[in-house]
Amino acid sequence: MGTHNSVLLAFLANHKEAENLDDAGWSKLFAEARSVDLNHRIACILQQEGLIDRLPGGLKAHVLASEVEMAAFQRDVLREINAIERALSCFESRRILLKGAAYVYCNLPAKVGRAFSDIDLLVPKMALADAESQLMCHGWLAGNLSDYDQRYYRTWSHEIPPLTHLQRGTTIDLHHSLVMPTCRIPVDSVVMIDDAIRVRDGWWRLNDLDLILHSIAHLLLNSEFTHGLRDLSDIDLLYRHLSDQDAKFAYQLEARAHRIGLGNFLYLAATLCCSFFRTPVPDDWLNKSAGILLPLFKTSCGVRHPNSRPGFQEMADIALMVREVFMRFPFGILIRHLAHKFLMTTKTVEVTKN
Amino acid sequence: MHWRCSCQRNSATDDRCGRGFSLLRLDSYDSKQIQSALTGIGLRLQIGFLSICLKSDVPEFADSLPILYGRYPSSCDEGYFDFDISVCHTSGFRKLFRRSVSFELSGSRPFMPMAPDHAHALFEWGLNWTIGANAHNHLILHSAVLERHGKGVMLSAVSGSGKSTLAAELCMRGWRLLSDEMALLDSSLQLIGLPRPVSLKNSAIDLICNRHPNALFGPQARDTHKGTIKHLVAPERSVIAATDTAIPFLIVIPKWEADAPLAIESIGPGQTAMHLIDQSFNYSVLGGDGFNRLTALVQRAPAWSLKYSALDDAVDALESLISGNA
Repeated sequence: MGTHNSVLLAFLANHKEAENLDDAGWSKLFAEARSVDLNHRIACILQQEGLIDRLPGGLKAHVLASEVEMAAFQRDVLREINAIERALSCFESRRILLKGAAYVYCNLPAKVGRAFSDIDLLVPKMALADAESQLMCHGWLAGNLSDYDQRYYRTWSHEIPPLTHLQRGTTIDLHHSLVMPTCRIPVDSVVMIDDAIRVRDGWWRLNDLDLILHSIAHLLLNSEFTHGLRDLSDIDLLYRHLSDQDAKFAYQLEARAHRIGLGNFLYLAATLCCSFFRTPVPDDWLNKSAGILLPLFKTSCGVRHPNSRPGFQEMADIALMVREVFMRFPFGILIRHLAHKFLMTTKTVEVTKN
Repeated sequence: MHWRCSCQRNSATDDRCGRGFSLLRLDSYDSKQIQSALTGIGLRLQIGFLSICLKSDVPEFADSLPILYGRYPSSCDEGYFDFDISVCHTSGFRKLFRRSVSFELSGSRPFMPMAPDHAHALFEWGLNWTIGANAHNHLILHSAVLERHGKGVMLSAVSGSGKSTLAAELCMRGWRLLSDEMALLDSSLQLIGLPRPVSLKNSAIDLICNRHPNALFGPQARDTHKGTIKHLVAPERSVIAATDTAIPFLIVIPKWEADAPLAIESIGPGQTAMHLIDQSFNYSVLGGDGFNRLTALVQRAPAWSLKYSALDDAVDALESLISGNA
């Protein structure tokens, strides 16, 4: 699988590996981390663990540059959340921050060295139109979408089309459900919304268990492989942090996963986390989800640097993408969707020819 | 700690780096050695404080390198690098119909592929992007930087105002080139050198060619999104002194205009700051620190606007501003 020669994977599994790195090795670590968007997080880990003095001088500067960039990023996120808060000041239902925005706002360990481009919000479905119109009044508009894409989002998707701010160009993904309602795995978003916890200033976040489960569902149902390892790292950081505070956490998480409909996903994600990060999950979770998915995800979530990416990564990506589309849609909708996309492509080709 | 740490190490030991690999001038390798490094473990190219690990399977690019970077310290061995960049053929079935070349930083491709004879220009743009998106321990301003008699001069202007042409003319007249595209300002308000080929566009190419027949140029890239482009090789003196910093002494906002008489006007620090913020890559990323550096800069270095039509007039004006006779 080529994992043996990845400096990054060796380091993630055991930070002590850093002791064996020479200058070229450190450079490779940073390059591989860049290939999967983990460079800022690696920089933070090196800083936290006092390893920065072992670095060659030039890379020390990279770590400091990362720190500057992350500080700016978190500043911007908080400012944007503030602006959304003002826009939604009359909004009466729960407004729940998801993923990166929640990590930053709630100061969770997964905020460390994490960059992202959109703010993800979740509101109850009945309050969706309300949220959208209030955001529109404050300058967040959906871009120009074709009628089909509009309909795709409105009928089948778990979110409305991305809303972009007119002046600042920042983007909000407004969700009413955590996964596509048409998804073959029924995930109970309503329970998650009902059990969310209040943070401050009218903001909510998913509870500790759902925080991890949502992260898992997102990873395993979206083929965003360039972020795969980073998303797994989020899960690892959250799990370590939350299970540290509560001895029963693992068992609560397992029970919750089954209740929501994500039992098998939990085992799969736990096995992946453990193999990359040695996450201290219960032993009986490991390898419970046998089959082809585990090696496929292991390959796709691996390093994506040309020098050390695992073999067959592109094929694993394609296989998982096909699986994702299959998971998202029932057969009837799938055929309609693919037929439409195919016709659109041929149409575009004809237009370009003319 | 600054980025300069790595370069001081490398510049102090021009051919022996103390870290296990030696740096020689790129043109001291023969084309076979360069080719095999580019297609193998990567060619290490030292540009100012930056070590680039460069890979390429594009012959046009391999041929352009010794011309544009022949004087730069480099190594065909494994070792430290800041960024790993590849300028390689785009794979996939498109390749069967038309060759195209992609810029990759650590395996990701921020740009659309380009024609193989634009590969060297693609590398320059890609490297600008890489620095602008990563080197946040510097305040990065869109500006050419030169040094004369130990005094740093920033030429800051929007694209198309003749900044690079003026920078090319100045460095051919013995000014030391620190950069033709970006001013890097460190926390102690020093201008950091990163001399690279000066990118000349369209009519500026013939202008500099005619004025300086012995100037060295890289290959011409026609029909790019910026028109025709040709790179002036950075003078040897600038490359050798690449890691010497300069103190900002003067900020000039040049504007070339056909038939315009020479006009120099002083600009206040406030207005200069606004202009520089507009022309910055990462001012907002640096937050309060960016504000402090910028305000210190405009208070230390007086700023002038310079409108000209004849290069000689502009050079004379800059010489007198430098010697304080304005």
